[in-house]
Amino acid sequence: MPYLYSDEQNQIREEVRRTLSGTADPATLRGLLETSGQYDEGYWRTARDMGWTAMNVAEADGGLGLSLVETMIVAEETGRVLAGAPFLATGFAAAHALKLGDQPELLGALASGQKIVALAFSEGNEPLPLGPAVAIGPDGRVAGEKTAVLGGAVADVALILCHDAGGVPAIALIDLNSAGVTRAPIASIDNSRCLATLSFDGAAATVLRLNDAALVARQCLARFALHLASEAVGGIEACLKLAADYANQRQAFGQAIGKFQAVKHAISEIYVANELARASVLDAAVRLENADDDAEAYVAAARLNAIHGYDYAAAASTQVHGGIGVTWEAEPHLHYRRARSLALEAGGATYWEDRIASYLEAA
Amino acid sequence: MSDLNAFRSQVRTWLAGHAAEFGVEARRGLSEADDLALARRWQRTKYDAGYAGISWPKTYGGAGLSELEQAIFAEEEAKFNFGTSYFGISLGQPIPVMLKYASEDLRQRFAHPALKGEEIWCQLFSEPAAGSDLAGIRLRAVRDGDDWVLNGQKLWTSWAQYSDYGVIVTRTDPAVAKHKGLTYFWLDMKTPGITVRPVRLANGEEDVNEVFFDEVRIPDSQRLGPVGGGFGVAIDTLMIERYSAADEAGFGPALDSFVSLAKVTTIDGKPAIEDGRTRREIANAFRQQRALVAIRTKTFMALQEGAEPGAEGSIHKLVSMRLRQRLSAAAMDLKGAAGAELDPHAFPKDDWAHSWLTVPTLRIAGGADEMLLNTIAERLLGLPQDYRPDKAVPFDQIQPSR
Ligand SMILES: Cc1cc2nc3c(=O)[nH]c(=O)nc-3n(C[C@H](O)[C@H](O)[C@H](O)COP(=O)(O)OP(=O)(O)OC[C@H]3O[C@@H](n4cnc5c(N)ncnc54)[C@H](O)[C@@H]3O)c2cc1C
Repeated sequence: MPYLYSDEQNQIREEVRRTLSGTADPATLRGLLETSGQYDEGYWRTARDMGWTAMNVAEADGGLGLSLVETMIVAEETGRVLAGAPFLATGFAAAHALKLGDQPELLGALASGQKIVALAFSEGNEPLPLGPAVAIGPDGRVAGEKTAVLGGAVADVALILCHDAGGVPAIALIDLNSAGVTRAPIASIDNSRCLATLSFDGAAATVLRLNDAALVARQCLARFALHLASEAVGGIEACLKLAADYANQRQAFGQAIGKFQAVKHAISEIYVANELARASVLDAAVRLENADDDAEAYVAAARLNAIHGYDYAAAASTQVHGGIGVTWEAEPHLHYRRARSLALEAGGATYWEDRIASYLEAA
Repeated sequence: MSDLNAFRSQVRTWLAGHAAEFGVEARRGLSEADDLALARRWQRTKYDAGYAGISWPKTYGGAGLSELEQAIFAEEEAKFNFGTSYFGISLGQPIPVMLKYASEDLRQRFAHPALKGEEIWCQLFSEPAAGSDLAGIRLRAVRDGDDWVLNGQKLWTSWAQYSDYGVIVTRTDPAVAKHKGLTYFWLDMKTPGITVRPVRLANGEEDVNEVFFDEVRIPDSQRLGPVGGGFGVAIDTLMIERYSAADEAGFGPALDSFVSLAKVTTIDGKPAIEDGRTRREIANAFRQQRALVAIRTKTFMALQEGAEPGAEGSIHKLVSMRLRQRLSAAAMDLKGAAGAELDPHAFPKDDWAHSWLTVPTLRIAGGADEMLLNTIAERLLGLPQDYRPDKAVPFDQIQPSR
């Protein structure tokens, strides 16, 4: 698979961009930030109508059977406009487990967008606990708590990483509207991400039949992380444009502030960060698609390039905007929030740094 | 892409077969004169095998292949630490500019010996008061009949001490604005009146020089481009350097070598490789280096489809050099006080202290970081140009720098 986008892929991008320009925008996001647990229903309807939820699901399972690269293009575009719902990322990651775990019905519902699936793997600050505390008993009932589940406030179903009666890691499905489930939306730096604490007290679960749930969980996390990294790339690019446009237009000391090198160089650094992150994400997508052995390390690299790039870009863009940049009405804070939220949602920098170090240590 | 893969593996095998004779171990401990002699033999070996000037036309001794093969070869060659730096400038800028501007006779005359490593060229642009600000040069060239007479000084001229020829930018008209009064020539470095004096760099090396011009007389036939059009030719020269050799480690030690070091050193009695700070350094280097390689791969593909090289070179230089500086210091930290040891026979490519000591040079030479960032901002992002108050002022009314 090539590292350059094909004509068809560029067309997909154009189409996605055009569609999004009419539906998702920063103003909508601003509204969502006011309370936790709300998402942009207009955007989500569009995503479903356009088939974005189905992109990475095989045609036989009711999807469009497109590659990771197309999926990442959509992710990037949604990141660019700060789309107000995180379900593409969670659904994309969950689809991988559902496919391997032989859950065609739910996979179909996920692809059509009928059901929103959350990914509840992390516990505490660990994105992938080796010995998960959440337990599933012999009766198939689950006990325990998952905090800060992305999309958890509104999802229909959660895919949880837990341990079974024998203490072995398992991935299970829980209907979040069933008895024994309590969800508590969390007020967060980016409320549109719909984070929630999910508490299980005897909730019924279906265990996915998988050869190695721990490995599948890791693969899901890699997909999740890559999706978020792609969104970040779109975000970095948005910050670049915001900052460059503003620097060209805003005057101080008798000239455009873009003439001041401190400003100019800060913007050039966003460009560099964007190029690194974009190339890194595409590279990782290609390796993941090919199921290369080193794919996880490359996902980690992409993830880190995206985290560092977007954090930097959002902060630098804010700085370039001066006082306006830190007001509620301005856009930079929306990116500043989103950047950090994306940075945490699939494990923070330390986790991914460690994946790389372990990979090279063993090499 | 499979053709290119085949080319790469063929090149790799060929290079590996010559590593013992010309590579880092053969070079260790040699005097510069001996190292240069070995490097000349290496260059000749490449020429005979069709690997010198891979993207150059065949009539000038090249292989007539694309920039892609050229870049692949350079990438593979960089892994071995052969003695190639002596010819880097020569084949990178002066000869290509000759191929573009000189007569066919001269192209034939000069291309082959340069490719074979027999003749070396230097680029006489920078002066004490004109580095980043290339158009600030003062070295005078005054017309005298069919000749020009040159007086003044150049600085930072790489390999001038070994050079047979050079390309030079001079000031021919101080009464007009700085960019307008420049004229470009080529010359024989043995011309009477030229004195070359080495400058010792911070890393102890002496690969750059001061070059003095005292009544140096050259014929007008050695002019490249129009009188007063020298700035354009100079910019062209700098642009010719297409997608140049790239090593994501910035020609410093590879990341693997840092990981190996971290496995055998300790922090507070515990293995350094298990220390979070070490792991962060490793991950930081890995993520950036992998991104640089991905950008390079993408560029290869774009070139193959006919695109022009873009900003990749600037991104590469900026990111890889900063990274090399940081990783080198971190490696020295891991070694404790012993990290300060500077083995006189080691090379920047395989020694952290040498790498660290040399890297500041690289962040200046060939465009300082600040200039690269300016280029990105102004050329790619459409940000306004810096305030340049001397732009329209006649050159002789500008206050000299020092
Ligand atoms: C090892 C080495 C080899 C070299 N080889 C050659 C050679 O073969 N031929 C040749 O002609 N030259 C050569 N050079 C010269 C090289 O091109 C210059 O050193 C370089 O362009 C910087 O110029 P300068 O040293 O005069 O620094 P200056 O231009 O004086 O720069 C000093 C500082 O000011 C900053 N600065 C300058 N202008 C700006 C600006 N507009 N905005 C922001 N910051 C700015 C620079 O970034 C730098 O930090 C070589 C240099 C080195 C170190």
